Amino acid sequence: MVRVALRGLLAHKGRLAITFVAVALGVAFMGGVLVLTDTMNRTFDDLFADVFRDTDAVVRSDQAIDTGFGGEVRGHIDEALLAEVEAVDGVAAAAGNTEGFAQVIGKDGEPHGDPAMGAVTIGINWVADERLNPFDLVEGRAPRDGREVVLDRGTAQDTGYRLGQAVPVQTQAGTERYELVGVARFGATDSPAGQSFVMWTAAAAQRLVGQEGRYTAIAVLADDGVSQRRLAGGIRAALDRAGVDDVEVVTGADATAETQSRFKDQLAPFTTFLLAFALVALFVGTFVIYNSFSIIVAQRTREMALLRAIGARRRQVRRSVLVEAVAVGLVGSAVGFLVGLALASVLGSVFDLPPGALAVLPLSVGVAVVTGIVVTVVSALLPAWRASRVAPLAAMREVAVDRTGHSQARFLAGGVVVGLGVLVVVAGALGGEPARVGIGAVVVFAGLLLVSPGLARPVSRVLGAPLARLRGVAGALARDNAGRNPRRTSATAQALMIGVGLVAFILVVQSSVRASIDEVLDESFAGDFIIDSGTFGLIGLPPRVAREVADLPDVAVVAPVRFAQATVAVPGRGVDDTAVTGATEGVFDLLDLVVTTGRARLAPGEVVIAQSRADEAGLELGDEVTVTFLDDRRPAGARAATVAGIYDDESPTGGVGNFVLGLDDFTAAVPTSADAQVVVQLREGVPVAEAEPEIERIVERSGAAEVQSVDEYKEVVGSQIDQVLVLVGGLLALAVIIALLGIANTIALSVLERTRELGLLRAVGMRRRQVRATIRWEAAIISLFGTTLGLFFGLVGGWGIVRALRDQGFGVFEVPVAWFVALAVSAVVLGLVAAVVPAWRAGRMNVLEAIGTE
Amino acid sequence: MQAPADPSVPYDATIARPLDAGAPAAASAVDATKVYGTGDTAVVALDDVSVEMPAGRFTAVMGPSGSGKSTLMHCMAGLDTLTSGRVLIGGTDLGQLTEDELTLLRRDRVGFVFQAYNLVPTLTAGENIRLPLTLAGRAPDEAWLATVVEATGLASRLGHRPSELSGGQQQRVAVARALATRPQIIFADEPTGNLDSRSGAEILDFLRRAVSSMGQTVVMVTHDPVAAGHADAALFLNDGRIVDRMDKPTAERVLDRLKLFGD
Repeated sequence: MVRVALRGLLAHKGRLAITFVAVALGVAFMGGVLVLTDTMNRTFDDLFADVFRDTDAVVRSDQAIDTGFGGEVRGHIDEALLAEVEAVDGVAAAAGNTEGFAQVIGKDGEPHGDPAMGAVTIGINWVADERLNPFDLVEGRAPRDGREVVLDRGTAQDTGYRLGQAVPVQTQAGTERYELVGVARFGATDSPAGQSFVMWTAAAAQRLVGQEGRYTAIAVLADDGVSQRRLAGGIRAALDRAGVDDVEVVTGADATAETQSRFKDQLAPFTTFLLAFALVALFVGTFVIYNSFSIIVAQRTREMALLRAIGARRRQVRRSVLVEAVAVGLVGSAVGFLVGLALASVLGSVFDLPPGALAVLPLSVGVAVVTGIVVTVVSALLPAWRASRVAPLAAMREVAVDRTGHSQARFLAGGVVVGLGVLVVVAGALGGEPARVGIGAVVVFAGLLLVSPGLARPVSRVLGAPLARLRGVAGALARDNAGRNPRRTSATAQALMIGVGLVAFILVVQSSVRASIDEVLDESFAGDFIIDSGTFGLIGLPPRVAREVADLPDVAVVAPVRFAQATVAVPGRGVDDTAVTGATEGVFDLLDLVVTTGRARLAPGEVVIAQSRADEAGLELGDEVTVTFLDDRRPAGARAATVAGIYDDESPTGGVGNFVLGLDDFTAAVPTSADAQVVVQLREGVPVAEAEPEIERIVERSGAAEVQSVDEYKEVVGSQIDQVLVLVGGLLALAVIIALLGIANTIALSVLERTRELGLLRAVGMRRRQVRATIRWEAAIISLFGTTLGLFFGLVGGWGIVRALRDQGFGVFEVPVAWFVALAVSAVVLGLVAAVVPAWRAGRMNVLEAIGTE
Repeated sequence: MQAPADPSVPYDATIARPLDAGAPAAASAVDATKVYGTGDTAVVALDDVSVEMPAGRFTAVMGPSGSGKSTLMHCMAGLDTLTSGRVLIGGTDLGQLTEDELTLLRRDRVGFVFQAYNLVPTLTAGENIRLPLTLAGRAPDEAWLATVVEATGLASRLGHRPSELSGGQQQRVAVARALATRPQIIFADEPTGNLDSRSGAEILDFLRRAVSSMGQTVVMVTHDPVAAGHADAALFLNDGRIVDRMDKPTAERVLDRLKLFGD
């Protein structure tokens, strides 16, 4: 029986070609993501192993703050510890390290490397002892004073800076030019994992990217024959004797493992995000697979019936269809995985992974291929079951065409389900519960799946009505054909509905967010400029920028905002690792943040907190919290702050953080202070255009920083949202492509089935051109049908979410009409395109043979 | 044609009794009634038919279109179910069988030959012949298969696909397939309907030999008097009832009898 099935498969392989492709595309995406993840993990495992290659022990601060997703920031340690560590028995060498953020500015004046793309721009000290320095000079020499730097070779090559040239680098001390005196490689790579490195002398690094008199960590090399464990134990004991209790000593192996696992944690959400889209693509694929098998089973009714008549059991017929599905799934998945490998290597180069062998782990191969097979087989279950229900008597009838209509009961049930879903969405929207809207949207989706076969005929008639008028017979036939197999038409359209529905949903949310932000900025933003550090807050603006801008005669108010990691302890309610904001009172006015309880005063010893955080932690006015920054310079007793005000942070711009301290308290505690943003308000009557050049002149000296007027700021915020849209849209494109393949597939199989009928039409005088048009327009109608369903779904879901979140800053609901129209037009065009090949084949058919076909 | 228009041939229950009452029945129907549809649109396809198909005989079932001959065959072969009455194959009451048992009965004890050959187009002739055995997962009786293949005269063409064979050759493969399991009874539905007279004669000859030299039982539905001439006996149906039976029929006698239906 397996052989019968496989023979059948081989004979019909043309019919299943598009199904193969649908499986392969989904698996390719999934496999690509998995391989990319494995490769990144391995690359960074190797990288970190290299970093710690000669490090036997690490001495570091025991104060660490978890920044989420595997991120961690640590305090610094006193540089005096280095001498004590060096004196410990078994220590061959020790080096004090400093590490922070530094941004190289390219020759074009633009920052080099985009942290948003994973290229972290790092500043460190050049380690004199080459055993503890993972870098090797390939050109020039080590830096000798604070005016000289060494760059990694990748950065030097990308920016084109050569030895002797001045390289502008932005640090916490501002942007300065340093002479390039050396270029170094990291082990075998030019630029480790696409990161950029600027290396100064130890003292310069402390001043520019660390803290003076302190190290980030001390790396220790053991004497020959001294184990890592013994070395760490020895150092620990010596430090204990010296009364040092705020540092920890870990072995090199532990430090490596810790860094490696932290990187994997950082990568995990990114992988999950991409895998979600791979699953959407596979989900769309299930519709295409289901449809292919349904049509093929229908076309082979006679063969199935014959097998049943001569004694094949239902189980055997079912299994023969499933064996085909397994074969399609297996081959599709295998090919898909290979395509995924290519995809991973392309993406790897986008993410600046070093060229080299991809990591192909058996687990990832297994997961991708098994998922592909399971998806295919599950999609074929229903068609297989139907095949097994074919009456043996059908072997004696002239039936080969699937003429199944839709069930009225299913249509009504679907209508009820859609109605219920919409009600749940409305309830969630009015009640401000996004989760309920989500449930409602899923119910609406399920309802649409049920109802769409019943809609196929009437909707085809409506959508096709103009066609019949414009394209005559061809149009009328296209309209009728699209409504002819309602189940087939709707299953094909449903695949498209998923992708289009998600895109429409995102579009509604995005345009509403933009409209909401615009409204808020237009109506309530009191500032005139925002100076952004342009480094994602990693480096920030030196405080003098805010001071100099404040000194300008045209400027009325300057409100700097800065952030630092801290641990906030709420008595009786535990501790919380979070970013704490330092700001001046003006920020609340300028950003239109309303302090609902208490006052907007940031007096010493007082803190203003966000409403959402206060609700979560049960904090009230007058409560006391303890804020301990990393490397906090205040004595432990001086870290308490009283809640003086609570502000409403449910704004589309998101407020200024959960805990806001006055700038004086903040500066007293945090050793290095730089502003992430500075909000500027001009004096009454001063035109924006007049003040801008003066401010620009001050900011220009700060590398990547940018001065943005309110309109420019809107544009920047808007374009960030657009980027998300483009990314999500791009990731959903695959789902849409698979759905379009599904249309091509359905049309191709229908043409095959209607060979005789098409031959007849040709015989009585229909022209090739008309035959082709009939088929293309049928595809366009199906495509438009699916798109209409998707737009409906996106509209309902998008409206629900936007309304449910109206108190969280989604003040405006906006339907992106232009986008919706564009989607509908694209649907028609892409539908026409999808059917080009089947239409061409139908037009080319030999009339006599077509009529003779059984 | 000047045929006497006398459709009201009286129904005589005794006609249905087998000629040689001593021979056991390979299949029989008892009070078989089949009604399609309900109410006003109800059509009685079989009207209380009782009949026995003797083992080791070649029986032709004849009658004009709509006489119920195909329905009778479908019901006796377990492809369709009766509205009332019973069908037995070798003592097994088909009405008592589950769907799956019915399938196994068809697989192991019944053979089929269809008008449209109905070979699996993707399998070779040889594979088609063995298909029922493959479905059963049973080791074939090679000696028997050799005999059957020998009888088709297609031993050299077993590796060909159905599309590479002529209609007559395809139908011989179909007959061989029906014989492969050595069934208790073979039902043939207009086996020569799609063939020219020469190919048709070959098939009839093949069926004849299956009965005479291989000891098989064949029931053939046909409207062709020439085909019926090859049978041991012919049954005549009209309006869902058996109206006549003829032993050792010849084409001429069958034709004469058919003229009585005014067909």
